[in-house]
Amino acid sequence: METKTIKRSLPDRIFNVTNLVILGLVGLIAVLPYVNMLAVSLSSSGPVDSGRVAFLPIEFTFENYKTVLMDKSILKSIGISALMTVAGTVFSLLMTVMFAYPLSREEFRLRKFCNVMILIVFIFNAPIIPWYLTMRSYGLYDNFWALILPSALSTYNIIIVRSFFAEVSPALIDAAKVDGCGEMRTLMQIILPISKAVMATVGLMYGVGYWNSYTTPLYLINDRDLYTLQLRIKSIVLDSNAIESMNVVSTGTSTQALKMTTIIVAAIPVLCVYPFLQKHFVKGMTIGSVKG
Amino acid sequence: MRKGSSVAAGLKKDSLWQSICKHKGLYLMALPGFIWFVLFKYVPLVGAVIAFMDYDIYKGIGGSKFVGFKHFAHFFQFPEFGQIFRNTAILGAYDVLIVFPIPIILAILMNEVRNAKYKKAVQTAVYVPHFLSWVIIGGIFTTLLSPNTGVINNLRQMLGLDSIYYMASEKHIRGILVIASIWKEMGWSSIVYLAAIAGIDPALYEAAEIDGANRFKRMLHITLPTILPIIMTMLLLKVGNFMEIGFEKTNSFMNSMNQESIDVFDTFVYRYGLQNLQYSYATAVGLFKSVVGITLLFVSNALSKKTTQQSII
Repeated sequence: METKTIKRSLPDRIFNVTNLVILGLVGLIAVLPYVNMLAVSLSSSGPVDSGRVAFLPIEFTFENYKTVLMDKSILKSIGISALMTVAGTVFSLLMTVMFAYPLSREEFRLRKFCNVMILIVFIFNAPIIPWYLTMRSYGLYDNFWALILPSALSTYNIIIVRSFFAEVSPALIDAAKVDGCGEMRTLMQIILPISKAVMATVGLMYGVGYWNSYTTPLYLINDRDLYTLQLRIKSIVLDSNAIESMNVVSTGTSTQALKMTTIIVAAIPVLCVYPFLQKHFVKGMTIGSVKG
Repeated sequence: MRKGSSVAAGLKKDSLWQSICKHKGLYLMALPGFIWFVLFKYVPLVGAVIAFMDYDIYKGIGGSKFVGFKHFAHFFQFPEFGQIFRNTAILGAYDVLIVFPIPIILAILMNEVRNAKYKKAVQTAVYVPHFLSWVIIGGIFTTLLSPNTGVINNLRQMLGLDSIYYMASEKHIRGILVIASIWKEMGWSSIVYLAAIAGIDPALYEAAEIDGANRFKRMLHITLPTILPIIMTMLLLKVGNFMEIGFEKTNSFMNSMNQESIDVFDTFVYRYGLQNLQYSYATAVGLFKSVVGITLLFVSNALSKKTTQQSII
């Protein structure tokens, strides 16, 4: 051990330092955009519009947050997105475990058939226009269900849960049966309590998926009163580009600061669960790659 | 599939019907998921036949006229077809040549860091954007690159340069998309390589060290060759998904001024299908894209089986 430390040569140390500096810069570049946005969102309109704000707020104020969070349409969108995320995740988890459980059991004769069925559409997805017309024919247009039902299940998540359930000892299931548990009760009271980790992983995947979903609401929601937060951001941040290029002067608050504040508000829930995401998603990825 | 399994079932144990009677609960539980896949995945797939019709929303599929490959022929003759194809090819090539190698380099460099806390901090920073939606990423870039108040142009002005309206510039927008893709996914994509590197036997490194190989040589002759199979797999997967430039990505950066440079199949379908209500035409374009995509996927899968003995799908 001691000889090793002595052996560490000069080029070796140069490499080490360069490597740390490069990675530090990469990390910094990854973070700086948020720092700038946070600084702008906490600055007054004057410094923002004259382009003086870089990485620290100038003339610190919460005015932008007040304006954004007082805006009725944004508040409504936050509510819709939150409700969609919570209701959607619960619904998706329920659907997923109910489908994945039989798929993990040998007694279920249609196992192979169902596995092939979910894999085919994993590879060959329908073009979006027939999908859109079908959803409309079901009445899934401009209502809350349109935000949830079409994305209720994901093949990838079913596979993850299925692989986990397949590892559960059959003796445990048999024991539950001897005790008189039906299949549903076995799943809910015996299997789920020991599957907390995989439930967390898959639940977070569905949750982030719902919160971030954009294409589905874009196609199926036309009513501005039902806009999710992502649709709202798209309409206020990206489509008002033209206004800015024409140099229309806004009144009181800076449009730039308001845009950044809205984006931060939409990113905060994701950042709050980020520590869990980092932990569980890595796990999910390794399960997926091993068993996929 | 159904036939095969029921025949097998007849040979041993119960028949399908007996199995259903015996395990009613299991079959009932699978029913909602089964119905969901039929209604939300297979019915729209069948609905793709409107690509070969003059679909009339009031007459439905049964009442609309069958026109064969009319819409496909129309699309191939359309001047925009060449442009969309070119954009897809260019953006796809950038994805493979520039965006793809960066996570590999990042993982190899990350592996050389001995300070666990430092490594963790960098990882935490670079994973974050993966979880933000493209709309938010698009918003971040739009505001940072804004001509009057964005930080990038403020910097340029401080240095005495003219400010550039990046988001409206056909020359810059593809590069911006590439940078955004790197920023969003480089950390996350590196996980798979880091996991592969973690599986390398440390004895290999020690042996190389004794033989006098320096850090760089060890990276080149041990780390890289051992993760080469996974690199090949990921590369083929990427090639298989060549057509998937991503609707959310392009849509989040697109405006009327940069449209010509980043218009791809999915954005075209959205415009013609949803905004111009040319359902059959847009479906034909979408179907064409899917068919080319599937072909690519199967070709790269065959290549993958040949080179790495591993199937990517």
